[in-house]
Amino acid sequence: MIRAEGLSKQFVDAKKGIVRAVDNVSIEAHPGQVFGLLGVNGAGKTTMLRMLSTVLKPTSGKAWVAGYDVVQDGEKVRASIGFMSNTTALYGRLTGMEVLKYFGGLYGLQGDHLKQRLDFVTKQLDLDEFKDRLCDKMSTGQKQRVSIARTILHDPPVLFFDEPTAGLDVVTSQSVMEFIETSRAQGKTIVYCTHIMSEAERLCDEVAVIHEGRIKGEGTVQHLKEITGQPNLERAFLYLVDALNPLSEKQQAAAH
Amino acid sequence: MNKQALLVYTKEAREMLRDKRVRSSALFGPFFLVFIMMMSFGTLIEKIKKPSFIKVHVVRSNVANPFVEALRKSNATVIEVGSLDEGRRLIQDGKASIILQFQDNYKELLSKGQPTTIQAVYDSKEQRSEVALSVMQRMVSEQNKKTLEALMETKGLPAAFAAPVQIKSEDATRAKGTNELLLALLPYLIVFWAFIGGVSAASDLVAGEKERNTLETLLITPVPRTKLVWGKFLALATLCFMSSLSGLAAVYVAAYSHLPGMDTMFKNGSGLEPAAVAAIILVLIPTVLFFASVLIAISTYAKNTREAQTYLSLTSLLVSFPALASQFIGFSDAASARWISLIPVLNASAAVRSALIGKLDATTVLLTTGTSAVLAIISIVVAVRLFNREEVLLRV
Repeated sequence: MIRAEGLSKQFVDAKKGIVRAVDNVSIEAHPGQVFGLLGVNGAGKTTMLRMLSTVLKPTSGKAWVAGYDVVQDGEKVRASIGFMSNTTALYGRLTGMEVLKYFGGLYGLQGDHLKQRLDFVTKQLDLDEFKDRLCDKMSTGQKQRVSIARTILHDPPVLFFDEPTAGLDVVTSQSVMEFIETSRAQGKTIVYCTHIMSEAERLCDEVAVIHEGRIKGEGTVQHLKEITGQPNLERAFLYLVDALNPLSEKQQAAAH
Repeated sequence: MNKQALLVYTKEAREMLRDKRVRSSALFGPFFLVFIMMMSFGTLIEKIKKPSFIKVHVVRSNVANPFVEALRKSNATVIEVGSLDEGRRLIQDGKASIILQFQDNYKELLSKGQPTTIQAVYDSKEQRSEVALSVMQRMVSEQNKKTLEALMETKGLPAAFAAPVQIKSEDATRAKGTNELLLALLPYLIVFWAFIGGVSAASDLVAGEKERNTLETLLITPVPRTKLVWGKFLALATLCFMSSLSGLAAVYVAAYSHLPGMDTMFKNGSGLEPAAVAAIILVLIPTVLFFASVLIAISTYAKNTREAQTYLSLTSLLVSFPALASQFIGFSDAASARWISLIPVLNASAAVRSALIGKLDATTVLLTTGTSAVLAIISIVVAVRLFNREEVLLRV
């Protein structure tokens, strides 16, 4: 459902010169699977998602989402995806329902079909109580639920999540993760970017560790632990990005 | 309009109308400002015209003469000062407008029909002082005329010989109802507001979306970017147009309100003939499209609202100069020159001025709308291209 082959993105930075934000990355994710893209801030996760969602054009390489080429069939790709990030906001002067109707329209939903989908997401995410409130007046958790509703309103087969729980409280984070699990059960293809390893361990069927734009390791969480010889994903991740503190390693060995 | 662009248009229009800042600066602001401006200018003009508005300082030594009596009769305020030097100081300190000193034997010389002088001290940099001097000059010339007429009569000659040549003037203007000040201000206000009205919302439209992180969710919808720009552009153009019309509406309401000062500004209704209003609207449409496209291009280019506001302030200054120039073109032949129609912004305000005085012809309308339309097309192409450049849109 999602395939990237040798995907790269270069930027020209006034100070640093040419920056390779993503460098020759190949990944594959399938329906009913959560594919985790793990990396520190600035590792290239967001750039990767932006290329897959056609917001950025790759400098080289190819990628297909829901069977469509991200460069050739941009509109079809965008119609097939839902995108949610911790930074994406809502329009403060519109009510939750107005935001949903607006995006429904932009995704080509209309008439009974739009009404049906609005009813579905309202029920699914329990929006009834605050759907007619201006987004500026909503709590963070309520905004996040409207954001999720916007992401799935057009029932896309592919979902991208870019650090969706960053800055959220435990309860709201929990509901976001439960939603992702439900979506996986519905057969959606999900790409989940995060640097929170506990979330990745809970949600991801497969992960790829990205660092300085390159894939440093890929496979199931168990596989990464095995190839790195580390007891948990967090240490496997640190091992792969060359960030293991030698002192803590000694302490770990002494403890064993 | 395409359905997707219409969706964006409706959403942007709704957001704009809900924004208190936009409502006050683009919709109510022009109306109230034009209205208050008309009322205060009208009241001021009425006040200036009244003789009681003039304060005249006269050197005490010789105040008992017919000129001072005439001044008092006309309700001018006469204040006595000790000497000319004292009066000069009062002028320099801004405490007096004009000082008059009559020749010692002024009354005597006048009664004998001999020439005499009144020394007037004033400040050429103070408008009220200039006005006082011109009022004194008018009174002296009237008195001279009366003296001459009396002299003619004593010599047995017709009094009309005092002014053998007269100018018989006839005002053939088509703009009978509008005050000159209004004619100078209105073209500037209508055109400038078409731009300023959009400024309040422009920074929010794209730069604001970048800042609030709502732009990316819009970019991942299947709607082509060109349609997104069109929806935003047309919503902004509507606001610019409404802002300009709000100023025009204030003129209508002010004209028929009969509030203090309004009857001076509007001698006979608004003075805006339906044909003039139609011509103004015709000229405004491409101008508004040009302004909206420039505003959208700036908002797209800017990284955030702050940066957008900086660029927009500078552009407002650029727009205000040619719009302001329309106030002065009436002093030269340029008002009727064809090349005026080719200068952006100035062409629109000059055309509005021509419409107000009933001198707008089809060629001017065609040249003005054509020039603005071409510029609007160029700017919207630039805006669309900017919106399609990822390094501009995402500042990556």
